[in-house]
Amino acid sequence: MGIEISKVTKKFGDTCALSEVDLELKEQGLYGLLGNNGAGKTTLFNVITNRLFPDSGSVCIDGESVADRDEVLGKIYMMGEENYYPEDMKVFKAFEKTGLFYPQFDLEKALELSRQFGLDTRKKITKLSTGYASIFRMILALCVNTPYLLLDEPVLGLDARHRDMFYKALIEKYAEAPCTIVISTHLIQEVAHIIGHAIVIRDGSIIKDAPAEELLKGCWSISGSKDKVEAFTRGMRVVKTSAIGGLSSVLVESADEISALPEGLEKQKATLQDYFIALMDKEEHKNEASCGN
Amino acid sequence: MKLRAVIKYKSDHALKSAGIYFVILLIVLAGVISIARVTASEGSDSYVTFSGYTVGAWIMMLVIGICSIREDLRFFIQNGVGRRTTFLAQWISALELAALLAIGGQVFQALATAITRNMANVKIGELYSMMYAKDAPSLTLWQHMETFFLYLGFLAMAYMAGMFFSLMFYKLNKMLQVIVAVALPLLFFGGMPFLWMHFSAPITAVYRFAASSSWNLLLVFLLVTAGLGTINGLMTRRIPIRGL
Repeated sequence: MGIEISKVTKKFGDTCALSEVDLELKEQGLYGLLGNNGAGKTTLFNVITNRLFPDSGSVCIDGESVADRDEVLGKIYMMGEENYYPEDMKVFKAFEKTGLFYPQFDLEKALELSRQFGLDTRKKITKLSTGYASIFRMILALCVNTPYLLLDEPVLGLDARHRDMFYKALIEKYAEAPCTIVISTHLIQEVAHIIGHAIVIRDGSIIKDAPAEELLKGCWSISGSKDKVEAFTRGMRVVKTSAIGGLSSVLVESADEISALPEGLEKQKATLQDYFIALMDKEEHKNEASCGN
Repeated sequence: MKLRAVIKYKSDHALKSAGIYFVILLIVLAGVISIARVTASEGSDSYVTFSGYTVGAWIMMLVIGICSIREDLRFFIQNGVGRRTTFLAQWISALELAALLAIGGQVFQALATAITRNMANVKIGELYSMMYAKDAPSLTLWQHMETFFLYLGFLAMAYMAGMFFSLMFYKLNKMLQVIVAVALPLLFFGGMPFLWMHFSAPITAVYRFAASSSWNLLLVFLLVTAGLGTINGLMTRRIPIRGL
């Protein structure tokens, strides 16, 4: 059970937005969908929620195809960046109407969250600022209580305080009623402590799909003087190197625990953001090399 | 299927739209009567006629057909409703709104006739009476039924026509949108004389067929509605849905 994406390909003209994507999102879990701009994150969400049809491949939720089936589509809720509500609809009305389609929608909680975030429920949705439009959609997503929740750039336009409030509300929601939540975001550092599983997408292909802990297992950032770092990391699997002046910082993947460090070197557990950037650089070099050949 | 929720959502809209239209028409009627009173008091023997209910309702249905489909596709998919149910909802909504406006038309006509009974210089007309009842002062129960069904077909056709144009322009790229937008009036004004020149006999036959009975005209409306509905269904089936 869960969401199964098999061999999904989606092209827009000559651009391949998704290429043979295979992915499984299990029931209950916090997933992070990480990727650069134009990597295919939103397209993937749009295909999962049947807003777009894939050119080939299939998407199943709990073993049933999503293609134009209300019962299946009703199990999933996507919070996107765009507005899907009528232009003259007011926030409160949208809450009410959402309750029509999702009987498990918690109106009281939606109103309470609106109060906490300072969202004026008498306002028209299209008149909301970018930040408040995000808050409106985020409140809907938090209160709709579907087994699967897709959040596409949920904190777009939110200030630091509201972002913090959102993450807290999201964790609370997950603790109260665990479900499958997939967060697509650029702000990797902010979601790193929330997500349990990371999916990295690049140029429409999934390049990593593993528990976040497993990805970072044995990933260390070693820094110090250039010569010492080079000598120490020789023979190790170097993911990324960066140097400023005589100082160098290297991200390594090591199967063994790095315990004894020579004097003058420092080690730090790599963060998800470090790992993501290193992975993207590596892929970039791979591409350049293959283009050169 | 979330049909019950969809019907409730669309019904609220239909009731609101029909109510607003009815109120606007009552204001127009009041305006017509006021003008008639003024002209009568000035000793003029001119007539004030109003027969805009049907045409107004048709235009409203066309506009709602144009606006609804895109809005509904977006709103419904956001709420877990697929294209098939959305399309079904358009039919239900079109028939519901058409029925409301058809009943409203009869109520409006009855009301207008009652108010203007003693006003010789006011004439309130409507499609059915003008075409099939020879402007009879009152209609029989059977004629009322005929009027209702004729309006129902006429207005449902407008909704489907609106939906057709909306979907067509949604599917076309920018260049084709411009080409079609320019070509449509050209084809209409240039094509009509051409059609008349080459197909006057079948056109006259269809006209005579439709004019001989309101049921015949209803059949023509229903055929056009069914044709447009089928094309709309095919266009909706795999349409990509994007937000604003």
